[in-house]
Amino acid sequence: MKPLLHMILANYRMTVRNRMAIFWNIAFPVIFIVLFGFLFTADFTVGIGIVGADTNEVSRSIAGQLEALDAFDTSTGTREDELQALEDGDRSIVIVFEEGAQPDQVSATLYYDNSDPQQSQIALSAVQQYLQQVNLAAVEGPLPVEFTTEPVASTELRYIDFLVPGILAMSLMNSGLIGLASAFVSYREKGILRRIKATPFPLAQFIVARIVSQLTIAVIQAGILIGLARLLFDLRIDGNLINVMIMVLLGAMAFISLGFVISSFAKNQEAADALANAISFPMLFLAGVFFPIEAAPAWLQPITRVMPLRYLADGMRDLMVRGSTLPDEWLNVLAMLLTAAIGLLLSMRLFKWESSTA
Amino acid sequence: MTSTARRAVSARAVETAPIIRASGLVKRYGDFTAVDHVDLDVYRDEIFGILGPNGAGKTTTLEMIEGLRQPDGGTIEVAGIDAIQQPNLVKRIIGVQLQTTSLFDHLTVRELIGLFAALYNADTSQQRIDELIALVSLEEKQDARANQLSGGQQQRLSIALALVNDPQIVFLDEPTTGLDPQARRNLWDVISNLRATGKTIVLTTHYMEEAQTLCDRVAIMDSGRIIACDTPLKLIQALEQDATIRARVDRDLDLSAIRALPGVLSAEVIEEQLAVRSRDVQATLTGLLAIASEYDIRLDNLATESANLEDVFLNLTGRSLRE
Repeated sequence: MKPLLHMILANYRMTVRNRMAIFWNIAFPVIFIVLFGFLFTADFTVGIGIVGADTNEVSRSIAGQLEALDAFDTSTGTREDELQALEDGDRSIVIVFEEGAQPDQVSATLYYDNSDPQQSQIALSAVQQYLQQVNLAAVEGPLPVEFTTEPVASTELRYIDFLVPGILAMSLMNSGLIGLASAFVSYREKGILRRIKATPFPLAQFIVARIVSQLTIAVIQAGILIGLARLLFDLRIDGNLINVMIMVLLGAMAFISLGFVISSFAKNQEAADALANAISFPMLFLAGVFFPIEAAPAWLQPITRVMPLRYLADGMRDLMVRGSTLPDEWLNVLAMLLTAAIGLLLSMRLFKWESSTA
Repeated sequence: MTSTARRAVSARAVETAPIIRASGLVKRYGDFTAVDHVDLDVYRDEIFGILGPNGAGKTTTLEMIEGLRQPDGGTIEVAGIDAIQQPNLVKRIIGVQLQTTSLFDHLTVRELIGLFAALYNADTSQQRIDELIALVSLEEKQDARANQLSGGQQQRLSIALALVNDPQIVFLDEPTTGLDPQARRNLWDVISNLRATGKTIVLTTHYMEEAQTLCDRVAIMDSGRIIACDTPLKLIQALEQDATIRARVDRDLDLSAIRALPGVLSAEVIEEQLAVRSRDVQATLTGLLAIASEYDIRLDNLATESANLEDVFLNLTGRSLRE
């Protein structure tokens, strides 16, 4: 154990002292989050969509009073448009008025966004209270409003909530792919691998030491990014942080093993960097880090389906901000496990101790 | 220890069983045979040198013994262990300095020595690290990063790394290549001191001065083969040659006349530099001076140089070591 522990410790030391690695792993994603976070901060007013305001006298009066309240940003439209707006995250709540059972009665369905509980709960309880007051005010006859609530999960998040899990996935990819590949290629180029081979320390342990230290760094990276986004932008965290960290480890492992594959192919540092960039760059833009990939043209979809980063970004986002659990994410988890397994198998076959046989 | 005393010790050692015994070593790369049936015996407590030009197969030979390369043929026994079957056992009892190793950039000299000691599961105490640093005189640089060291300091660091497991045998692959004369001499001191602590040292070099000054025995290697192996003194004595006469000449001269002089083995002019190898310096020199005055040729910087390993190599291969 002593040789392995010393090697892991030495890896930590080297990482902490490597300014380039610190920049790419921590500072670079932080800059992204801060920059984009401030650029795209949305306002926090409660949007209410009203459908069927003209159904009868009761609905007209309720709609008029809601519109008069400053706390709400009301809009009216067709049922279809308003529900779509709710799904897109543009409304917190949508009230649909329909004819009641009796002429002076109206039935109201309250659709609310259950994926953004903090905001929609406030709106929901405010509207419910208001409607109850309307009912209490009716002295005689049937209650003017019959209402039911209907949860709707919006697919759209605040941009920052969408972005942070993506940036986290991106930085796991970068430190795995680029960090590991360039380190191993430089070890090979400089003859460090051969020097290790000349000691009784087994290669497998050298690799394990590297993986352990990279995984630790991935967890620290994730902690810093999530913590910072929470602090600065009140990042929504619906999921279980332990699940999130498990996904972080799985994602880091997948990209570390792809980094190994690159380091086995690349003859020198330049080639390794070029190869890592050639793989990571398209993923950066097509795997849904910065914008939802569902918005991309249909012909692009199959291409994004083979990108490991897409599964990591999706899984990360679902676990962090959509309150999903690991079993729900089985596809994304499986994609990470498969990537890791294929990468490790490939690199075990391709591994070379030295640049050339001279 | 004086060199005569050293050689006396090694003469005694020769009678015991060799600590390294390699026979019939072959290594091929495609059609190219890098090492061609090499036999080597190294004895305990000697400094054994493999001298040869670049590409002679020195490093490949060394690395097969170190367990870094699998030979295509032959047997290797290191301290009684079959090095081909059990390279990992061999790695524990030897120390290795490779020809070109730069080390982890972000660790200090102390940390690197500690790390390598740990990789061998050896003593990683601060005293032990101090001791190793003192052995290679790197006290002033112990907290410097490896990439801040000069060439000579880096070589001394890699020697310290080769010693972390207190090995029986230390392999040094071209330890002084690329160093300035001062740094080279410093390193020779370090290596001689190592030998005094009871370690067997095997080194490769393409500097004949290094082989001659430092080594108890030298194997001369060329094109994958060992073409001679003995003490430097005996190798030189085996030459019929006495010395080389050198001078700068300002114009063409009749080399055939010089070649006909008594005692001359060979004569040539390369870039205005005349070199006459002779087995009888006095007779050759007298004749040479006569030719010079007869044809009114000026011989600048006239000097004679005792025969050395360079001449041994030239004599054996017809080529210069530096070519």
